[in-house]
Amino acid sequence: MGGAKTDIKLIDENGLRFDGRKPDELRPIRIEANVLKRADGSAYLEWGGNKVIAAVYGPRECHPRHMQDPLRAVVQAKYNMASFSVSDRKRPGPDRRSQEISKIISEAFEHVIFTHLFPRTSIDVYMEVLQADAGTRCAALTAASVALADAGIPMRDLVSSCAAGKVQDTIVLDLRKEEDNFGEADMPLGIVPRTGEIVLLQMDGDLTLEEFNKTMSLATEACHKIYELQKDALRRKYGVTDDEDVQESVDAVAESVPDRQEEAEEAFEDEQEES
Amino acid sequence: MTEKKESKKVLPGELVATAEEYMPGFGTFEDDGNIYSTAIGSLYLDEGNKIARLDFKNPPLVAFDEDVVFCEVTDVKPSMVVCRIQAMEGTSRGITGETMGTLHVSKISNRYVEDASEKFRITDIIRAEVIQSRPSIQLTTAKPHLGVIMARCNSCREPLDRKGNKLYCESCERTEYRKLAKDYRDVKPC
Repeated sequence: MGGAKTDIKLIDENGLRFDGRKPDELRPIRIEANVLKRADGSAYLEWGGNKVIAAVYGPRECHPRHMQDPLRAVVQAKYNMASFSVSDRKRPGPDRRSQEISKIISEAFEHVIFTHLFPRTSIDVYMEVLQADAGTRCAALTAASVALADAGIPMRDLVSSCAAGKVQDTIVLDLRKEEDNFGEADMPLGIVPRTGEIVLLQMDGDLTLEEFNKTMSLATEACHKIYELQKDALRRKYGVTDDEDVQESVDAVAESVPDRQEEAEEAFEDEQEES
Repeated sequence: MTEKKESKKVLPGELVATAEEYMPGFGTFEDDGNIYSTAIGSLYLDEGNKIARLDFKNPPLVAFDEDVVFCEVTDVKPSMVVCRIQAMEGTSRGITGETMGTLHVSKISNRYVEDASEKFRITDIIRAEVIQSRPSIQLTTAKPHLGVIMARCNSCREPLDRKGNKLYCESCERTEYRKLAKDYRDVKPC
């Protein structure tokens, strides 16, 4: 970012981009839920050249203990790029960038998770970028959101995320590496699609107000498309369908936790009465 | 109570009913006159009480009364044993929330126990039943299948072998006493 000079023609005379996409076109996205056996919830996401795996553990006892909140759960997201995820080897371990991304992702999820239901606990979200091609924070947030739903964490809605920006004076959606490096602006956006609330918004580069509004609407529209893909991944995994025949067979498998459910409901009702 | 089951399963944030028709129950919440689900699960609409509730597909695991748990003993006092709950029997998911449990001396066995340290030692792995989950977790081992399932020698830390109702250390030829579970060192995975 920062408009570094390049000879690469990022937008051609037909208005198409470096990889043949239209300015408002997303890269291909594939999401799969529940891919890790040992995690409480997990998801794998491929977004163009990005490959991200997310795992959720908890709500579980919060460590370090001084971080416990007696009234609610703490969301501890951890974003990490694998050393082999970029062409030049990345030095392993936390750095300023990954700490920043972890923080903003934690804050985004704190807005949608019903944290007050699990006091003194932590919900640990681990996101590992296996292959990076720009837009990894959006990819990580999208994957982690599916993983949280897979873990059965009560939340208001899924969080969807997508970036848009400006490349050679054209507003484009979902920038790839070359566009990110040599473009003029990049703006990752995370929203709660049901309500339209913004839970993550950053901007690198400069945009006029008009450009900002256009970028914003382009990214918002894309978030809604990604939301459908997230729901589709969960539907495929959990057999959430309107087809009654399929539903009956799924119900037969789902009979394993009825007693727990009753107890949880009673506790919930007690809490309601107390409050 | 009449309960109607919806034909579809729901995802987080999905509209399940309106606040005019139903009250939000377990697994649902109200927002702007509508009721939405909070997780993946099956929707139940209780026609009698007019409550919309959700059966979670993969619910977080909270300890309730009569749950059987596996714990590690972290402290032993004459009147009580303090342990850390590590897992719940029959599930692979970790415990949510409070993981410290206490076992009062009167709940150790059906027989009279003078001092809890006669029956448990620090680092013993025990199977216990939850008798109270709120405000703190209280446990009991006063059943045949409850008690120590794995113990180490107090002197050399080798695993102890069962000999009748006692434990014996082969390497230092010592005998120790515990409240043993029926399947000491022979726990079958669920």
